[in-house]
Amino acid sequence: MNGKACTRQRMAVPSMLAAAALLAAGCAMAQGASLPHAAFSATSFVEKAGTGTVSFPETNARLTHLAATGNAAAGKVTATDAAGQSVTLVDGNTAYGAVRAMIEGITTGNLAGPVAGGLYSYYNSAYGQIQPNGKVKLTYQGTPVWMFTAPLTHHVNDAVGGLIPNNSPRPTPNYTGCSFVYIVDAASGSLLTNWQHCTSS
Amino acid sequence: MRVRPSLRKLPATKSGTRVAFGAALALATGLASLAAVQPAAHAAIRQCNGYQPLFDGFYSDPNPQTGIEGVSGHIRVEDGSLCTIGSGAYNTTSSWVMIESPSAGGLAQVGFWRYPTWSGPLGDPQYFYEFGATNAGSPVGWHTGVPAGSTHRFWVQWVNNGCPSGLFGCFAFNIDTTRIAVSNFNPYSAWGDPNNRATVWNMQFFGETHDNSTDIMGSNTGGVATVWSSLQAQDAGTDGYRSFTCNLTARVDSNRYGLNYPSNKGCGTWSTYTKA
Repeated sequence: MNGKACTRQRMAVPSMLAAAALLAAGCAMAQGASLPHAAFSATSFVEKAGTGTVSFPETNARLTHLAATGNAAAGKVTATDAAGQSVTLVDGNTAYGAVRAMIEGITTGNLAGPVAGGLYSYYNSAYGQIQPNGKVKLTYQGTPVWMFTAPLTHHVNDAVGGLIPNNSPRPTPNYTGCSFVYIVDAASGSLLTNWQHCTSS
Repeated sequence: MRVRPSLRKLPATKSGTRVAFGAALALATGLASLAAVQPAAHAAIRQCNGYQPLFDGFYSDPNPQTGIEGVSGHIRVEDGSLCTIGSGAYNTTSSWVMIESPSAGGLAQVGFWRYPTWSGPLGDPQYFYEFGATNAGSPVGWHTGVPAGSTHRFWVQWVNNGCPSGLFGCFAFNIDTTRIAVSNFNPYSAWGDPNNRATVWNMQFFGETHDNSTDIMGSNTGGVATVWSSLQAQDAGTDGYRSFTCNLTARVDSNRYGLNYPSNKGCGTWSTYTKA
């Protein structure tokens, strides 16, 4: 079974969310173990049943795993959000549909593994409305989102670096372990933010 | 009593005088009204030429102005076409305001851009910000969408609230009255004192492309040039925004691009565009 077939199988049974997640996790392991040199595709994603917290300090972002509790309707799942409220959200396939073309385009020839996706509560420690006293009322504090990560074989130089000082090159970090990260609002199914994350520089 | 920023903004003086932000925020504006617009008459070229950073706008180097710690400008958003054949992820078109450190090599910028592979629901230009203490860093996009024809205030602001843990100060990246991000460094620590000519911080106001076949946002026909106005600098002494000395330097890197600035070296209203 190659990676594409594996994810296709998972995508074909969206109503069996929990089982699919387990299957997808198995798929991910199979891909990594048996086909280290397989050409990966971003046409679909592998749902990752994550745990714990993921932090991205460079974007003021922190995400904690959020478990789906069931299926509400076609293309919808239910979950208990960070505030303890039951919410209806778009499912992973619907969320991925908002960014799939973007990910496919930007990772062509540069995808190091399957695109992973998961449901999370999203916290951003900076984004919000500036108040009259200069402080900020934060917007994203436990917002349900789908996070998709596309691992890259090499860093993409997409910096908008501005004019080079003194006509000498602006220093270029040695980026490694890079991936594109996409945060999709799980309520609306629309892309909130995306960036290229590198584990070291 | 005014305290020199170089003293009160360094980490060693965290307990020092706090800064009033009312003056800076009094200048903040809300969303500008949306204007009815026609599609831009862009001079789209499909075949890309390869990575080549090109600029169209104004900058303060080699005419540095000391004592500036932030930057602000209103920009009427327009779109631009990317070349598509042989395009890479490098291939963007953007318009932004920036403050940067020639001595440290870092930058902090906020604006809007078009990124490769965007289409359909992602068809509008998007907000982005980027920062690096000693390098260009990596850009981050925010996808609320920025319709062509709308005018927004883009400002990089030095702040001492809401910064990452351990930092006394940082840059905030603001659009109108929304803070979208903060930097992970305090420029007073990483860049030195902007009042010192050797470590001065420079302003830049540019449209930027990375391929000569890609368009600068806006066109010189159809009334859809990208319009820049109300440019201001954040004063390192007061933290408020003010006008600055009109000694910016114009730069246009391609004969496909244009820059209109009637008489004021970038301090008044001017525009950037791709020639039809």
